[in-house]
Amino acid sequence: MTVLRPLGFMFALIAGLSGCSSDAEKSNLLKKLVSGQGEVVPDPTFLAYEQAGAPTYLVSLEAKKQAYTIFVRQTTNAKGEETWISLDKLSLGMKNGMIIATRGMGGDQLAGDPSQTLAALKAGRNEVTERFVTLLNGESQAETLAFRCAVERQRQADVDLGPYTADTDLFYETCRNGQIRFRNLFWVERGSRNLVQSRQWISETVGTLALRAVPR
Amino acid sequence: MGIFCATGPAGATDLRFSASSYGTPGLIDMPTGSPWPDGTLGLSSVLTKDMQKYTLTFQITPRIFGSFRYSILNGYDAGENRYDRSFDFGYLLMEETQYRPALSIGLRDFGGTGIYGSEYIAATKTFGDKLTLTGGIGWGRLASYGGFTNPLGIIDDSFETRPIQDVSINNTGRLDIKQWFHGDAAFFGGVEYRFNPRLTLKAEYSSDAYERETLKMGFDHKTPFNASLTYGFKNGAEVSVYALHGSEIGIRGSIPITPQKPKFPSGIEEAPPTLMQRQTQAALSWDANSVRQKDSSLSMALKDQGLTLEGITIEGDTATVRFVNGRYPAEAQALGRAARVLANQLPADITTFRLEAMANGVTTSRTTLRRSDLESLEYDLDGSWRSFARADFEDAAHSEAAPIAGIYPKFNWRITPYLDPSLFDPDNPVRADFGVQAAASLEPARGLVFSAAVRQPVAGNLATSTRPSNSVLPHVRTDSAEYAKQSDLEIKYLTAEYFFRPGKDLYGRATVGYLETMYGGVSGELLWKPVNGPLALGAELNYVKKRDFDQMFGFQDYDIVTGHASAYYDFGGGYLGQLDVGRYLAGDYGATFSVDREFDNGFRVGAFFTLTDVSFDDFGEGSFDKGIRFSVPVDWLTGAATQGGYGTTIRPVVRDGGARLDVRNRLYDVVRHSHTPELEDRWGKFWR
Repeated sequence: MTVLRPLGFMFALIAGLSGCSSDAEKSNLLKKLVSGQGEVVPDPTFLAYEQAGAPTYLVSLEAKKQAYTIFVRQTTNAKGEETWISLDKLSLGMKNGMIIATRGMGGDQLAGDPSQTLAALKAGRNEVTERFVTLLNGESQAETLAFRCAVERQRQADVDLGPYTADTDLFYETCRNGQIRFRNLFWVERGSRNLVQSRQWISETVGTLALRAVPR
Repeated sequence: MGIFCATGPAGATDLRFSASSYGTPGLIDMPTGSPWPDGTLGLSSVLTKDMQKYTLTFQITPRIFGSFRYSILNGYDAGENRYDRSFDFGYLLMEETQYRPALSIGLRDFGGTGIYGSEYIAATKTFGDKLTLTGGIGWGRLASYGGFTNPLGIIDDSFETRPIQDVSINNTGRLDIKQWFHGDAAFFGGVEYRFNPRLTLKAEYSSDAYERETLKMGFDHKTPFNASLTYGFKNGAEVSVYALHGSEIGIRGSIPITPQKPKFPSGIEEAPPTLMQRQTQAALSWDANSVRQKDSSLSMALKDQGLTLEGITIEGDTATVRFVNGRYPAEAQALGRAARVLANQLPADITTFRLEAMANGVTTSRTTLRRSDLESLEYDLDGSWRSFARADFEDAAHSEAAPIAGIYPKFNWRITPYLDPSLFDPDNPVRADFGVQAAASLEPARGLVFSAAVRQPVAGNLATSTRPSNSVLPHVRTDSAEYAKQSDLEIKYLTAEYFFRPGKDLYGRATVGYLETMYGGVSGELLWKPVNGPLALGAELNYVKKRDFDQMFGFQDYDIVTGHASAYYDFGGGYLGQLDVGRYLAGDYGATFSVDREFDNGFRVGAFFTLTDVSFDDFGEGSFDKGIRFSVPVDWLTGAATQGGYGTTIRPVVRDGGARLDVRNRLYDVVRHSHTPELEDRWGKFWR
């Protein structure tokens, strides 16, 4: 299985980081380089929640073939913001199926406010919305971008979730500001109005994540 | 394979900016009036039949660029090759607007042997996104073809004559101010046409007659016109082929580095611990005593984040912890992770966290955070700034966290490869030794550090330098090649250091032992640096003796008392200034002036010069000590959360005047990372 978490060890060797050390972490860089980088020991916290039957997403990275991982919901805070963790130690902040943060992906979203788009999806309406995204930029600073988005229903679509097939409405959310343009896709289950499947843009560095709820 | 390739910047064509064969903003040989994007570092090299140029140009501010160039001219000195080092400087007088061109003034080779010595004013205007026109006026070498009487003669007749330059090697390095903008002037100009984001054509009328190359290297100047074709790669790198004065073909390659944009902007380390809901003391099966154990679950959870818990005190609703950040280059990230671990590990009624950061055993700052702010700002759109605004930062001259037993002694060791470069010396552009280094440190108690490093060179050419020192000063640095030649297994350093806090805002260091490659002795330093201010003041006093060339335990006869009073100022925007006044290794008195630009991510480029009471003649080649330095953080290169960086200092020539002791762990750089200006610069990492 391929993992989603980016690895940068190629540079580490060039940079002379490799070596032996009393610091196990630094020594491991060399070991990882030699033994193959895809080997990831599943996070024990992830396994505990997964075995306890926590809600699960299958998440893939559009920019890279075969790069996917599994997230489980670890906690929900007083504001209804959920933190999901993956077996390769990434995390996602989510709210009602919308990504509001990522951690560990190389070009992370520190926070996001897609509440207007979520409201339009829940109501099943076509609407022009504002979406805000705060990125962590290359200078270690938070940088908030504002987008103007068109939320438009496309068509009915069946989504095969394994145990059952969900009857959904497919929505496009087309967003732009002066420099950036992206399109998110949402499959909203009829009746429950839950987002059972989606494609959501994270940042220019990461690109788009595809998420599918895994029924438990 | 799990290698993840981040997509490149979407606007790759934005990386296109025009560079000349001098590696500076320009056409082919002629300069242009437009600067590069702020912060850009351009590395370029040029090859013709008899000439090589290697240039590093840095757009220091949006208006100022500076360049260092190393040129090799075949057969220039009566059949011998000339290895020439030169500096350029440019200033944008006027930005381009819809109707007005960009206007720049510049100096080429203002402190070298003057082979390229020239001055210019150039105007550049873009038309649409394809066509760019440049016109300008040059002096010196840039007026050697088509020259006319200097129009500046209107101001003063003296402008009409360029004084004869004293080109003796000992006279290099001085600013030829009397030459600047003097003598004949000449016009130059050119055009740049971008067919598409990949392909660019340039043509220019050059006011450079290539007189010296014609005279000394047999260059044939047939026409004043030059032309080039450039291919640009997606990452901004370029390759050009150009025709020079109708007689030669040249090749230019360049790579731009944008320090503001590392490959992984947010880093690739694992996600931080999830902030969980508050739990009661009973639910956590927590008690105030067990948390003081070395293997408490709090200690273990912090260790999992690369943080070492050294002390903790809980009073009422407040927990004060002292910890060492052994992983994150951004201290703000260490604070963010420590705070989340505390929130998860401590019972709900403990609502205030005071985090004491440490460096080399001493506490350097105390940050107070509230649990409720963590909870409300975790996914807040403006959570980064708000959490910074709600945090309190203060000095921690005395730790208020009771120590955890069994933390000391600490022992660390590491075996790594090393690369010891010596760049652009007068005979060889690249000298370096490569080998293996073993380093170890023992901290028997907080603040006391015994450390040692030994090196075994494996390969290299540092020892091949054949320039005997001709310095009339004590050979405090010019013997450096002897240290490479006469050593094999060598002790790089072997020291005992003690770091302490004499009082509020004060830091102290005492070091004794083999301090650096060439000197051993005692070194003491005192630093005043408030946590929240931009200014710091320091004083350092050393008594050192020159080490034997074999870099083992022996000393030579030369000893000296050397030391400096220093002032450090953070001007904001990443510009750091430093002034050191005192006595240098050769016994000379003077001052070193340094300016560095440090990007918030730690990427750093700087320059310095030293003037002492040693005369320019006694100093020898170069006239006074000067150089440029840079360092690139490991995490900028790899994306991994690892401290440290790679860097070097490039001096056009190493002499004995204005030479400073190279003692490790000078306090300013040890303590500044957890002080407010640095924390603010990287606070975006708090939630990462």
